Amino acid sequence: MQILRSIPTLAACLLALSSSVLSAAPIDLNDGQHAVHLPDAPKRVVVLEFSFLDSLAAVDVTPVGAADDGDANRVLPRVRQAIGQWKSVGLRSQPSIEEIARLKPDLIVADLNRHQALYSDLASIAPTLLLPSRGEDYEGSLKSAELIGKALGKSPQMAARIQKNRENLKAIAQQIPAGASVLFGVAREDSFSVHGPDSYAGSVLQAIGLKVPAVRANAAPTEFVSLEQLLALDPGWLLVGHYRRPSIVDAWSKQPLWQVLGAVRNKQVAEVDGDSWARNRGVLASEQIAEDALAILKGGKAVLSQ
Amino acid sequence: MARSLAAAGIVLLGAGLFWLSLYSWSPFTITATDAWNGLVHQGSVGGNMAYIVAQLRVPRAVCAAFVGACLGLAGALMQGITRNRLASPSLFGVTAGAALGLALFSTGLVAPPFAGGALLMTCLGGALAWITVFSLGGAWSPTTAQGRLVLAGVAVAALCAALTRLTVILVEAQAQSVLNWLAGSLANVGAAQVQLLWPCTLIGGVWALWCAPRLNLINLGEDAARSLGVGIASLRLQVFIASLLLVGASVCAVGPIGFVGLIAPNILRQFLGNDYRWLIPLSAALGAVIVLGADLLSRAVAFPVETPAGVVTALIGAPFFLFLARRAL
Amino acid sequence: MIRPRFRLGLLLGLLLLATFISLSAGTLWLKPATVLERLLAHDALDFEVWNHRLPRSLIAILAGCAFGLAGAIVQGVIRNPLASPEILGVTQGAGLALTVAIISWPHLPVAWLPLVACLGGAGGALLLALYNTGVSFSGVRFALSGVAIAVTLASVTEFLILSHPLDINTALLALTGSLWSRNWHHVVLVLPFLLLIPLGLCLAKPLNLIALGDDAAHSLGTALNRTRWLAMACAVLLTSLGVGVIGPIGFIGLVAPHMARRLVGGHHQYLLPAAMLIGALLLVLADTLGRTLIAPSEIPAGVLTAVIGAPYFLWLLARFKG
Repeated sequence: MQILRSIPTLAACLLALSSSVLSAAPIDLNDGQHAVHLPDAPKRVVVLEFSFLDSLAAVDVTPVGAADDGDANRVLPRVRQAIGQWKSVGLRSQPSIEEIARLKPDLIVADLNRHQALYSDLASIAPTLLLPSRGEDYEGSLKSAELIGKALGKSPQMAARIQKNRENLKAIAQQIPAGASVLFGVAREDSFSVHGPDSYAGSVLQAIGLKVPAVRANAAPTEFVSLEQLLALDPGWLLVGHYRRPSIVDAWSKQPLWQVLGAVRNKQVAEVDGDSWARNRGVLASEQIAEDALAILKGGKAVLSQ
Repeated sequence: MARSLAAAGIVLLGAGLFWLSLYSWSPFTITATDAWNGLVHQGSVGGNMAYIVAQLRVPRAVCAAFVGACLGLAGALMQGITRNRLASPSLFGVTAGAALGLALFSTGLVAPPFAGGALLMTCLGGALAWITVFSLGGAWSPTTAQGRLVLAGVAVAALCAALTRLTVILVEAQAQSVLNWLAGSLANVGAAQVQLLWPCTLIGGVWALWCAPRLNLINLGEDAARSLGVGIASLRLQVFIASLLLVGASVCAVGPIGFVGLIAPNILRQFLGNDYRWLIPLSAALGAVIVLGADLLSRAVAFPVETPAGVVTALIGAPFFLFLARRAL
Repeated sequence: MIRPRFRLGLLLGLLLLATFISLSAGTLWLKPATVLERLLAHDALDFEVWNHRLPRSLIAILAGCAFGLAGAIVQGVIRNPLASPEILGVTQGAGLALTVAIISWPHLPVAWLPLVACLGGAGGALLLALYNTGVSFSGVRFALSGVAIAVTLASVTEFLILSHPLDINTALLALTGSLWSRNWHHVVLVLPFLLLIPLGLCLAKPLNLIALGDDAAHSLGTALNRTRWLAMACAVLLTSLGVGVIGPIGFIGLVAPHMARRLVGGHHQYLLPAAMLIGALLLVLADTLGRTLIAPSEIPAGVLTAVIGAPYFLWLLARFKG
C-alpha cells in the first residue's frame, strides 16, 4: 500500500522535470497506419470513441469535442467527472465532420474500424490518429492509451497512470477468490450476447485472476447464446448488463429452467451497468469493471433485480 | 391414393424432423431416452437433460411446426384467392408489414397497452401492407398480368423494411438491433410463443379448410364461381382475415420468415393438382416440415452458433423462386 | 396550358433552390450571403460549405439524376408502373459484392469499395441477362426474374452478414445508402455520369416508340430487341455506379418517373429530363433532411427516401381506387 501511494508522487516529480522539456517540442509518432507529426503538444483534442475519452481522462485532459452518440450519460461517470464538459460531434458511427472542423482541433483520435472512410477529411483538418477501439481487449487498449499519451506530450504521466492501473488491478486480484468462473453478457429484449475471454470485459476479468469461459473454440469476442447454451456454459458467476428493459434475461429468469443454472442456485447472479462494462473501454473503465467485480464477488451480493 | 401416400409421407417426415430436433445439435449430449422423457413426461422423470428437452426443445420444435403450418396455410390461401401461384406472404409484403408492426410495438413507438397488443400490431401492419399491395397491383382486375402483384408486393416489402429500419434507428442507433429485426429466429422461443400460436393456427386452419371448396370453384373462373353461388367479396374478406391472423401470429412469435408460403403449396401442386381441399391441409403439414428442417439446419450450419431460421428459409427459397419465376409465366 | 418546357425550367429552378438550401443547412444554418461568400472564397479548409456540403450536394444531384433517369428508362422498357432499377438485382449484386469484400479483405482501402460495388452490380445484371436468354422479352416477366435474382442475392448477403458479426458495422454502413463521408474523391468517381446521362437521354425517341406498343413499334421498323437491351444496359450502368458511390438508395427510381409523368406527360423527350431533375431533387432533399433533423447525428439518406416515398405510395393507391 505504501508503495502504491508513493508512485503518484514520483510520477509527479518526473512530470515536473520532463514537462518543461517535452511541451515545446514537436511530436512524431506512428499509429500503425500512418506517421503522424504534431508541431506542438495539442491543446484542442477531438476524440471519436469512448475508449479514447477514457485515455484523455487518465491524464486529465479535457477534449473540446467527442463523439458520444448524443448521450453524455453513456460515458463512464468517473470519466465524466475527470474531464468535465465537451461538445458532442454526433454518433460514434457517423460523426459530423462539420462539427469537428468547427471546433478547430489540433489532434483528432478516430476509430480504425469505423472512421477509415473519413480519414482523408480528418487528416486535412488536424493530425489524426487511427487507433483500434472496437473489438480491442485490455492489453490492446493500454497500447492505444500509451500512443494517445505520447501524442498529448504526456508520456510519463500516462505511463505512470498505466502502471497505477496495473497495480490497482493486481491489488483487486489479491482480494478476489482465485479461479472463480465469471461470465459477463449483455441482454437486449430478444438476445443475449456473451462477452468471452477475448472481449474487453472478458480480458479485464482475466487480468484480475478470474476465469472466463469461452463459448467455443475460435469464438468471436462477443457471441449470441441461447438459454440452452448458457446452461451448457454453467458459469460460477453470471453478470448481466441490460441494454433494454425488460430484457430477455428478465424473461428467462421467470422460467423454471433458470433454477438449473449453478449461478442461480448459489445466488451468484448480479446486474452490472452495460455501458460501463461493454461500451466504454480504457484505463478507467478497466478499474470500474474490476471494482464492480470485487464488490459483487467479495461482498457476496448477488441480486438480479426484476 | 397418391394423395394419401403423399400426406402420410409428409406427416412421417415431419414427425422424424420433430424427433431429431429434440436432441440433436446441442451443447449437451442428449440421449434418445432423455428426449423421450422430456417429451412424454415433461421432464419430471429423467433428470436435467430431460428437463431441458421439455422446457426448451419441445416448445421450440412445436413452435417451428406451428409457424410452418401458419405460413403454409397463408400461402395456400393467398394463391387460391388470387389464382397466382407466386402469391405468398413474404413476396406480397404482408410479412414485411407485420414485421413493421412488431417493430413499432417493441420499440414502444406505437404500443397498445393491453395484452395481445403485439399480435394486434402485427396483424394491423400485415393488413395495411396487404391492402396497399392488392390495390396497387390491381389484384381483382381480370386483366392483371400475374407478375404485377409481385412487383407491387416487392415495392411494399422494401418500403416496410426501410420504415422498420428507421424505427429502430430512431430508438436505438445500434447495428445489432437492426439486424435482429431482419430475420426471424426460433432461438429464444418458449411456452409463451406456443400459447400464442396454437389458437391462431387452429382457427386459421379450420377457417381455411372451410374456404377450400369455394376456392376450388374460384379457380374455375370468377364468373363460373359466381353463377354457382359463391359470394366472392365475402370469400375475399374471409381469406383476408384468416391469412392475416396466421401471418400475424407467426411474425409475432418468431419474426419474419419468408418463402415457406411460396414453396409448400407449389411443391404440392406438382403431385396433387389444384384441389384445395387437399392442398390446404397438406400445405400446413409441408410448411411445418420446412420450418422444422430450417430450424435444424440453422443450428447445424455453424454449430454451436445459431443462424436465424429466416435466413435459412431465404437461402433455400430464393433459388426455388428463381426456378418458379422462369416457369410460372 | 403550361408547356412542358416551362415546367422543366421550373424543375431546374427548384433544384437550384434546393441545392442552395442544402448548402446552407447542416449542423449550423448559414445565411445565404455567407454561403455565397464561402463558395467564392474557395478556402481549402472550409469544412462546411466547400469540403462537406458542396461535394455532397454535387454527388446527390448526379446520383439522383442517374437513379431518376434509370427508373424512367426501366419503366419505359418494361411498361409497368411498379418496375424500378432496384428490383433488377443490380443493387443487391452490388450489396453482395461489398459484403464479400468487407468480410474477406477487411484492410481493403475504402476508395476501392465503389469499384467493387460497380462490379457487383454488373454481375447482378449479367445474371439477369443470362437468366433471360432464350426467352422472348416480356416486360413483367423480365421484372419478375429481376426480383427473383434480387431476392437470392439479398438472402446470401444477409447470411454472410449474420455469420460475421464483427464486420456488421462496416457492412451495414456500406449497405445503407448514405452520403455521409462522401467528399471530392467521390465526386471524381461520379464523373462518368456526365457521359452516361446524355447517353440515356438519347434513348428518348426509341422509348417513345416502345411505348406505342410492341406491334406498332415493330411495324415502324425499330430494332426492338436491340434497343431494349441497350436501354437496360444503360439503366444498369447508371444504377450500378450510383450504388457504388453512395450505396443502395431506393424509391427514387420508382417514384421520380411517376411524378415526372404527372408533370410533363408521357413524351420521353420531356419525361426523361423531368425524371432526372425530380430524382436529383428528391435525393438532395433527403440528404439535407438527414443532416439536419437530428444534428449532429445523421439519418441515412436511403432511409429518408423511403419515408418520402411512403406518402407518395399511399397517394398512388388513392388514385388507383378512385
